[in-house]
Amino acid sequence: MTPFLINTQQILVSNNSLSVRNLSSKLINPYSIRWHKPFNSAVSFLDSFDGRLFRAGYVLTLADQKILLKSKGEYFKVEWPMSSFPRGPEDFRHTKVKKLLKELLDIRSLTKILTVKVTANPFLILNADLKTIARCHLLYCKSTYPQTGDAVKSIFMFNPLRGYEADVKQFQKNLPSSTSYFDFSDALFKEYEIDLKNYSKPFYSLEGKKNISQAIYEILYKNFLILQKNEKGIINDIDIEFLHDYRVACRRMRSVLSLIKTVIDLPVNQMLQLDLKHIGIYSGPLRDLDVYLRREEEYKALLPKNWSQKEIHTIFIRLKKQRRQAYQNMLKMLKSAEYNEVVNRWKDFFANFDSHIIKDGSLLLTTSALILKWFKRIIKEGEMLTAVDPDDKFHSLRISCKKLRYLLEFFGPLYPQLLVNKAVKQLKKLQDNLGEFNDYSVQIDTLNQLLDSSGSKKSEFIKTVAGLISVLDYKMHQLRDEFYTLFADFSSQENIKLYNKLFG
Amino acid sequence: MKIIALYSMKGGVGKTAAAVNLAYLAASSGNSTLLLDMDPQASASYYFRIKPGKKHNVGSLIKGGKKLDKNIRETDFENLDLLPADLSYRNLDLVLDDLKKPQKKLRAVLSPLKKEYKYVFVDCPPNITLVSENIFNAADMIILPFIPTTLSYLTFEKLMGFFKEMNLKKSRIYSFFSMVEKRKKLHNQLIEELSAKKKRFLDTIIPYSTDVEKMGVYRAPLASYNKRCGASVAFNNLWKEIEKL
Repeated sequence: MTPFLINTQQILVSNNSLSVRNLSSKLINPYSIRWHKPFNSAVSFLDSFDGRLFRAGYVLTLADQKILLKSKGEYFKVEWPMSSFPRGPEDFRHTKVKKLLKELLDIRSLTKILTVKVTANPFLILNADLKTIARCHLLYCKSTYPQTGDAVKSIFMFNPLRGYEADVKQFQKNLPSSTSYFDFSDALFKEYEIDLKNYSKPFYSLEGKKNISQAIYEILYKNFLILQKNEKGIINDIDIEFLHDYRVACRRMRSVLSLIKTVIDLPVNQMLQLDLKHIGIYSGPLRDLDVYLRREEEYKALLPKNWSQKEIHTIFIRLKKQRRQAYQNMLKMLKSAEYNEVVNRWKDFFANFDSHIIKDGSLLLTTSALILKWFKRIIKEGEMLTAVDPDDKFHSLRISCKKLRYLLEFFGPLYPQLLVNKAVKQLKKLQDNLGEFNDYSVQIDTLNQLLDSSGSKKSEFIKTVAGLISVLDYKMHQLRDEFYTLFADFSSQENIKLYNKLFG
Repeated sequence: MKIIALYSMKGGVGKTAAAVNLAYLAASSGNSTLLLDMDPQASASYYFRIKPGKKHNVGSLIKGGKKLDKNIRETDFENLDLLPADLSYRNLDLVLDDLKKPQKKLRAVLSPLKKEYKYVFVDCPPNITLVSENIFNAADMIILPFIPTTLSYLTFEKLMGFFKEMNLKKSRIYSFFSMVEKRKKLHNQLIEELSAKKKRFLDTIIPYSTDVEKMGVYRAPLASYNKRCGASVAFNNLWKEIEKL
């Protein structure tokens, strides 16, 4: 494997002002240069879409049929004779690499972040005794993915030999001023502006002085970008988080439109909401199945140990089949002319945003009133819930809580952070309970459908599904019992005071 | 970490050539290796084109730790570092004499390097002093290049006697025939006699060779520029033999 990938070195990026030809002219006595034979290499950097490896201090490189997983303290080298890229930990045999990637990536898969074609010119810097003081590379790099035009970046890599660091610094002083980087990946990511931040959570630069329309624009636009960024990952079915992030972005957009109805021209608002609802029709079932399919082991643990687990596997095989269909439906929708129209409608909406504003106002006043309104609504809805109410009522309360949560997520930064965090923490407890309740409800529905549609006369299958339904139903009852305690905390005088203090 | 000292109280027997070539061969097989040049003449350092840093002297050697660490230099060859000698090493005996437990100082100084190096080769100065005694205490193996002459035999016997007198383990001493000229009758006779008599002689014979002398011209280990010559092959065999001990 090319040494410039392994070594941790002092690196300079020279903005193309230095080349093989003119480097020697920059030398001062007593240094000299010995060039070695140049070579070509293609280097790809892999990470999850949201840069989980990078953010944990790791870089995964593929070059010359080898994979290198490197952090500041260690590196692992794995042979990779395949032409395809690895998708995740399951593709590795190396136990440590497998374990490490599993921990770092969790449910995300690897995806190509950057590929560069490199022409490497290795050379040595020698001192007056013709002793090597540094092994170096002058690298000409061109990005082939993402394509960035014809710009070639020249990167100097200096690897001082032990005991000669000061001499190398002296040598570097004579070079034109340039930026210092930690290693090859650090240099390339910064030079090619590869930003592996967490795309799931947009950063809003909202201020109290702004108008509500400006805030709406920012929230909608930033989430629209997230939606678009995740499309490719859904189409290529890289991992389930692309769809999840896509759906969350859709929901945020839908929430803004439905929560703040008076600012945007109503027919436009309704049209945009319909667009998002249309997407939800296809993305919802796929997401439900994605969540479901991760539960096989959990399900096995739910049933008595002496029961056969074969039927649970059968259930998951059927669910996988359903998932394939749901994915095809989603794919068809994303590639449809109708979806293209939706995207263009949104683009047009952003381009002519001001013309759709019918009423504007102070951001702070509007949001305070909205947050209080939804808080009060949740209290009212929750107080009316009784032990015999159908699941739908809990579902409706869950939606209201979600709306309040979005309001706090969007506009919370406008208020004292510590107190907002306290309010969010309290709300989250209630949401977790209602969310789990809803998950079980959806799972029971799916199991019932399986039972109805399978036509299976196998008693083992029926026994397994019925067993699961009763366990899940029991768990739902437990959650209902817990709900009342959690709701009592949420609707306590203390919490009411907190909301009034913040938003009253 | 294995400390291998190339020693002879006699000069010009091929200690430095052996230390440089064996260290190079150990490193080129993937072992992290340090060559410790203890001879104030600094010939091993010269072969690697390495000069000691301005602050390196007998004091930094004795202090060890970071002081010593700072003065270790990476050679041009992978896995091979060198601690260069300084002219002030000529006073090492005097400095050691002032210390408590002077015989074991070098061992203590080298001990922290255990984690970093698999092999430490010591190119020793040609004498039998407190410095040599320190090396004998620190080394896991003491290897004597032996030119097959009567005088060499005398120094070999003296060393054995010294070890006995100082109650040191003689089993750590090994020898090999160095700078052997096959056309010389005396060389052949002594090799035959000693090989049969003394168990401490290794099988490999290093021939006298102008290729070895050229190391001073190339300023590099023999195998780095000439792998095929007889001396190069012999050093390789010698390393394989030592590695197995």
